[in-house]
Amino acid sequence: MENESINQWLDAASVRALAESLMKPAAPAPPMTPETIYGSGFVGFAESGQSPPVSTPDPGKPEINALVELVSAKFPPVPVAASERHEATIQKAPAKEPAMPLEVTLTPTGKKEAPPARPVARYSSPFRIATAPAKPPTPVTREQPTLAKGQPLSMRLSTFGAWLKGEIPAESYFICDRNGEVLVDEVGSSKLIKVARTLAHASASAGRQVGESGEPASLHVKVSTDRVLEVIPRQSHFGLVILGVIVPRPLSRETVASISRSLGAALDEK
Amino acid sequence: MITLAVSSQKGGVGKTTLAINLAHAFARSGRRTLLVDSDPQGSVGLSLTRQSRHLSGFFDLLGNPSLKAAQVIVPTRMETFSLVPSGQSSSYELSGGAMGMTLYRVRSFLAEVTELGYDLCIVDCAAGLFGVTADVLSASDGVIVPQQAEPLGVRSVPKMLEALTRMRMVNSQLHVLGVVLTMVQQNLPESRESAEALRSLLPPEMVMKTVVPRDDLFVRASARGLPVGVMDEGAAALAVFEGLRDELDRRMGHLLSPR
Repeated sequence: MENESINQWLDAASVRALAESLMKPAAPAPPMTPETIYGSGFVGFAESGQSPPVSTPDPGKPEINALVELVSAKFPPVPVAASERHEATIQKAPAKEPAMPLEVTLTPTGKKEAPPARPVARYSSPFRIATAPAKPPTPVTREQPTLAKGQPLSMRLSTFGAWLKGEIPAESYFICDRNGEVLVDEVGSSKLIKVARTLAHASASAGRQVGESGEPASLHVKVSTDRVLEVIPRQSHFGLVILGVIVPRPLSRETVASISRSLGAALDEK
Repeated sequence: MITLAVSSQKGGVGKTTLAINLAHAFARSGRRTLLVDSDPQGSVGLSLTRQSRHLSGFFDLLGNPSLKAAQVIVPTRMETFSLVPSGQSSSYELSGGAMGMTLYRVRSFLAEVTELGYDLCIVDCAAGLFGVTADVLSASDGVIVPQQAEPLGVRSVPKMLEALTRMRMVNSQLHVLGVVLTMVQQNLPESRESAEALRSLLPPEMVMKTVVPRDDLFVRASARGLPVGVMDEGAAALAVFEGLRDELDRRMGHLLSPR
């Protein structure tokens, strides 16, 4: 049989299985509304056109539209102790806060000696600042992904994504540019992309204000009881590119730095 | 607008012939159809326009963000059928992989084409599923895979499937619309048996029922710069591509909406 001679060159069963998988809808690219994924505790941002409620600004202080107050190694400490600041913010939040489901958990600054204190403007924030996570951060990553020279961006990002999932317990992730133009999206939540952009922009502008650069801090938002959106902004020759990863708990600073470097290598083909 | 890529891992399988004639068949059904040549060899342009070597085209768009889609679209005698030649790819080839912006540019280009009111954009890709072709597939709604009815073509199927699987990891919205058997020679046992082998190997819904025969008419049509269906003797060939168009319509009926 001639067919047999042709098929002897192939593993017919595996070819068939591969072909059948291609005829099915692609991998569970989400019926993922944040509400269904992240449980009833997740409310997310109000729909466009609605402003998320914010805590009442202090009378006599200018109202600042920035959404998030971020503290990281890039920031000089504010002239109040962190614990006091957390407490103060929590006290400011209304007793009932149905529109403030997200919690920003902030990683303390690194070992570096802090520069002289400078007053930082207080931002009205829809986020409630939580205390540091009880669980230890996700372990540090190991090797960098192997990226072949000359690959198109899409393939390099695909390689990066595969590496990312092998290195950390990432449930899903997305990559977008500063305007929210999506490069990769496994999460399927425009709201989370919006949150990530907000965090990234706030972090970048605050970093510029204090004139610091260096290794990125851990920017993350708790999206359910057991899930966190970790946001890793990265400057590349495309401009600011933002990685959002859904992980069980916040990543350590070292892990964030390692992922950031790998993302940079994938974007800039280093 | 729907974007369909005509792509295959292997070269010389009839991608350009399929792309030109499918675009012509869709245009005949009243859809505003744009045929884009993303193969640096420029076969679409060389097949359909004498001036193609001097025209700006797809690769100029990739290299020059200020260039607009409308500036590189070449009308044809058929009101519903236009094309974008590959253009002058030398500067792109020189800078090669450094042009990581390709995916952005491809998406921008397709957005502009949508704005211009096209219903369908068919992109003829270079062989292989890497480089610019990978970026085109990342931005496409569907892919049609021509497969030569020859033993070597069948043996290349696993690579093609693996490459498509990788592409769907990048673009989960990419529909594999089907494999089209091309260059089928019913009088040649090896060609016939290859076609049968492919049909037995792949799921039935993956292989299009319509096949494209090998025919001298394609060479003569190319020599005259015409889709084969326009030729005087081209009625049978026209029927083949219209059959293929109808099959594709059924496979993506929910995506295509005639004007």
